[in-house]
Amino acid sequence: MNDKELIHYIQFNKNKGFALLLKQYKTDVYWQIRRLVLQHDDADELTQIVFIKVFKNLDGFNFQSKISTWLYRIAHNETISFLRSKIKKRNISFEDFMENQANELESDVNFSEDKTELILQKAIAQLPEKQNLIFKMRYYDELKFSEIAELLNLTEGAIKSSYHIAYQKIESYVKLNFENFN
Amino acid sequence: MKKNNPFKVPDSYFDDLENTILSRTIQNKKIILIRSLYWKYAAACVFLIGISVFIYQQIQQQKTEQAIEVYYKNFIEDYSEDEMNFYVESNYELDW
Repeated sequence: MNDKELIHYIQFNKNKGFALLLKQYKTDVYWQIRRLVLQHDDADELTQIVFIKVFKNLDGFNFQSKISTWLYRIAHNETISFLRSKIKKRNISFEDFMENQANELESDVNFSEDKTELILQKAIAQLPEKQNLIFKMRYYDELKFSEIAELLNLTEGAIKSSYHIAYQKIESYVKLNFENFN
Repeated sequence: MKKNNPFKVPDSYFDDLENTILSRTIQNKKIILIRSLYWKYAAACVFLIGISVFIYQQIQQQKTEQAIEVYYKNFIEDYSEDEMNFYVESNYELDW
């Protein structure tokens, strides 16, 4: 179902429209959040929070932007608030927090048994907050640099530069640790 | 770098997720609506019962007063005016 049809349903029957929106976007929103928080339980909780928020704010959606963009923004903001709140409670840095999250993946049944994937997640976890987010948005979510710039309120040039630095850091971390692993 | 999705979810997770979210949004709203209607109907029932009891009591009271009135009227009719005067003057108690 395209955005036009979905908007039509939302405008004429909020409940039905929301049910269709949920069916269509639940996996995208979940994976977007999961790649940021790494743990399934956190992603599950956040996905529910995001859709409850979407349901409550459906009347306020102006139908000017794409539904996927609107959802992406809500999910992104909610996830960042969630991460910052957890980091503040534990009184540790973003990198330390993400490193803990990545270490927990070693025994996580909901994570691949492929060690390369674990190394990659640990490599991303070493990055400072902005580089971490920018890398995931570009690499996994395949957003354009301009879209990331708009979302993070930064210039496109700054985003490109951060992405390339992040990419290089990850590449060298993976190479080093993959060789050690083998 | 080769791009994969290394994350997994439990079996039928997305179906369960959809149901959970629906129960916390649309269905929850319906439950609240039903609960609110339930209390409205309950309040209306209590009000109607109260009004019915009040009206019933008023009718019963009116009937009792009418019955007493008829009783005394019939009773008085059983005695002549002379008999009544006699009883009053002699200060005799009437046999009610």
